[in-house]
Amino acid sequence: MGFLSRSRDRLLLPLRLRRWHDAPSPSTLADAVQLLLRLDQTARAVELARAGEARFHGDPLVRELLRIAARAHAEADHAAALRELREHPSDRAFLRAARCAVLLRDGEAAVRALDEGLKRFPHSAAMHAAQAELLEQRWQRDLAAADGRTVVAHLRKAWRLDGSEPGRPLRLAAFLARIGAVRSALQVTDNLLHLHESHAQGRELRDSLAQLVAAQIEAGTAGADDPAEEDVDALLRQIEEAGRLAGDPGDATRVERESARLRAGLEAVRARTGCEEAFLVEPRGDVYGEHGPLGAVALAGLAAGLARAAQRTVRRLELGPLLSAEMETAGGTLLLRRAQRCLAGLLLDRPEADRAAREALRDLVAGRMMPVEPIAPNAVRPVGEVR
Amino acid sequence: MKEILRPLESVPGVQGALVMGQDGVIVASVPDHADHARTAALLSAVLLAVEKNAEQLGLVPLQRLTLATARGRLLLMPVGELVLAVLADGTSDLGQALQEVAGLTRRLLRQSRIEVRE
Repeated sequence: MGFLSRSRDRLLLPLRLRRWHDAPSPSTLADAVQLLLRLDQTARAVELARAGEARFHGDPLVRELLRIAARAHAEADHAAALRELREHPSDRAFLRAARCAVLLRDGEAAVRALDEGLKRFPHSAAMHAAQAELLEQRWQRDLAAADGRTVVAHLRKAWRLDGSEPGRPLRLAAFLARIGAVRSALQVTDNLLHLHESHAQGRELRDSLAQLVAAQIEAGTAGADDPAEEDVDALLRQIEEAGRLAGDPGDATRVERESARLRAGLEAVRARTGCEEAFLVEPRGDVYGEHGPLGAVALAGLAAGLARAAQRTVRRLELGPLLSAEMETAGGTLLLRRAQRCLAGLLLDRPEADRAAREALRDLVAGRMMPVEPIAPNAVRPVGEVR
Repeated sequence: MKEILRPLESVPGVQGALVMGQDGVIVASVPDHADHARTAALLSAVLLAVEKNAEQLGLVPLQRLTLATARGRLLLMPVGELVLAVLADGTSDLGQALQEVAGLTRRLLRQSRIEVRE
């Protein structure tokens, strides 16, 4: 049966492709892409879907087709990468598996693949650099000192193993500068320019770092006799405790944007779960409900207190970023789930809704929860205005 | 008390377990070689952080607190005056571990009642 339908699909393919060519529309595109996917020609399906996206930009059906085709292609590539790992394990194969996992939005699987790869190929500079990149993304989300330390260690190792790639020390210097280790960053750029004298970006970064150090000395926040390198570990711990990157406007903007996105979905979460309250906790401990800050109420204290204590606990025990905290009691359940830097939460008094609530929170943090449509101002008249 | 915790060691994915007082003082823990003092102190701080506000909201008594992370899960269950904490990895299914924990909790409760009577 499978063989027959596959043969039929093969015969149909030129016809469907011609139909899309002669009369391009989202529906002829859908027919062709679906057929290509059934025939496991995922690369062609992505190519075709991309062409469709370029032609019918913004069409929801075409966008969905491209998403489905890209995911199917990434899954096929991932399966091939895992097969390659089993049959001919190499650093390239581990890198490919990690890249596929990233495309499938499974960052943790990518980190695990590279961890495993580095155990077998500890001298692969490319794997150290890739692991640093993934962990830097995770660090940005959680600001966990352990991740930050590992980023620095991997980038240093990648550079030591292969000094011909100037992008790695440049990234290391940029990371160090970001966490406030400006003198350490300056030293890295000096070493980089020692090897690659005419590296334009390196020179540019070195100049701006030198200016920053000079400004710190002038302002008295650093002394001319201070050691050449800062205590990177101490700086990372300070950032972890503060829960934010002080002086980084990009960080504040990221939190604001994330907070606004989550707040927009709180009403929909409450409507879907029937929970008592849906809220979000910002990194600094401010708690917002559907209609703004919750203020000094017990729920805000509980949510912020649990978020802070839970994050501190898992960081100190080096368990990686907190994903969720659930407090089940006889009087109700409090659920917290991490998005990026903020935590979304729910207070439930019905144990039977726990499962649906967990799903709703998962959807909210993944950006799958659509805000409740606002009612048009003229659609409903206040009571007493009906004449 | 330690013997009651032993079965948890063989549960797939469970890395350690401990019974402690609300103040973080360890009563018993497994495996023997692990240093649980830090874990107990941190978990006690978590309980303290939520205690007052949870009471005001009527979220009492606590039945279970679960912290899930990228690399593992921490479970806390009050057992009478004590608290049972289980550290498990992040990938394994905790269904079996939870059953073990539930059985263990009952045994611990029975034992604590007997100790009180004595």
